[in-house]
Amino acid sequence: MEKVKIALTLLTIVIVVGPLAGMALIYRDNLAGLVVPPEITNIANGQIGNVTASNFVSPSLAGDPQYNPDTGALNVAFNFTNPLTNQISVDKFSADIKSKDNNALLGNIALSEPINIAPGKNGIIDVAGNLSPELINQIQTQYQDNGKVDIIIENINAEVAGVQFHLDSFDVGSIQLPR
Amino acid sequence: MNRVINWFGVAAGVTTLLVVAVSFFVPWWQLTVGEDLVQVNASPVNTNFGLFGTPFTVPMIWALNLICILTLVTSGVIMLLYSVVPTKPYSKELLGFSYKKPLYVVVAFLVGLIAITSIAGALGLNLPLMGTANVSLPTNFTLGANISASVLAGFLFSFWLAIASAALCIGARLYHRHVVAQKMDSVAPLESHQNLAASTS
Repeated sequence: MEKVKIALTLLTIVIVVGPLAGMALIYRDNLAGLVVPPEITNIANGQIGNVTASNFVSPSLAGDPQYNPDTGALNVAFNFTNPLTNQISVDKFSADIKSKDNNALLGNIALSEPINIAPGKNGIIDVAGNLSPELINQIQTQYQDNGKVDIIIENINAEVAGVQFHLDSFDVGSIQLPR
Repeated sequence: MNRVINWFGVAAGVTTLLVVAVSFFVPWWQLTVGEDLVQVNASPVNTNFGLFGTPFTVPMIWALNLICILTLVTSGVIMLLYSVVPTKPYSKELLGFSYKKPLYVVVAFLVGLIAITSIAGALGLNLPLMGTANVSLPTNFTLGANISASVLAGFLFSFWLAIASAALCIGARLYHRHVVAQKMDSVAPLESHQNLAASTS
């Protein structure tokens, strides 16, 4: 009976000490690696998997915004490349468009329909909305008469891959609006 | 002669080994941020993480997982050995070794999980233990932007199987008294018969 007790105690010691000692032996030259794996180190250095921070390219305008002065309809398309190794979805995007000159609210834009972007692929994010033609004309008359209106996008709410983002404002410079 | 078997022990041993096998594929507790952007699959047998589709594990946690695997497997096997010979002189040692281990593993896992979510809460990340929540990242991490994500967390069936295993182990310990008493009852008449035969010869 005593032998069984001793054998079970030894077994417990081997089970607990063995894996810990083995792991310490493997990582003897880099003990920090026991708790900080290379993936965490890469993230700290701005790299996630095969993706580095430099792979992230902000969405850029895809062509000129399409503005219909009769109806006030505005369509803007953004290019976005998914740098991740898994598919992401852009489910929501909405924002206010304001004049940079007098801070007047010109209208709102929102995502037309949710889109999925495959890993490493480029996706076109279409946002559409309505601007007030009267306000556009007023700003062009009052401040500029070169067919351009300087705008800022405010109160931006987006949902990408289940993550909600809110930005107070984003300066996009001028948008040329055909008359 | 009927062989005495601790059936609670048999069930406990089999369930403990089943817990190990199932836990390789199904974590005890899972947390998902957004659409699989961040995933935590936690169990004493196999804990791993996923970040933007890249899976990884922490070597120290892997070593602790290995300790738990070996502990649960030996506990299950020794519980089965005990169950078929519950009245041998060494049986109580076997039972004493094996019945506590699944309970210890479940309790240690829960304590660790509660501690980690509490630490995350103290750092401003209120992670749910069960259910869904909208978790906001502290703005000093997000360059002024407000970023929040839907977080889904919950215990999966392997966790409840582990609790069942721990309960069966305790059941085996309690049933052991009944098994010993049963053995004593079957031996006592035989001994009295032998005594009677000896006294009459």
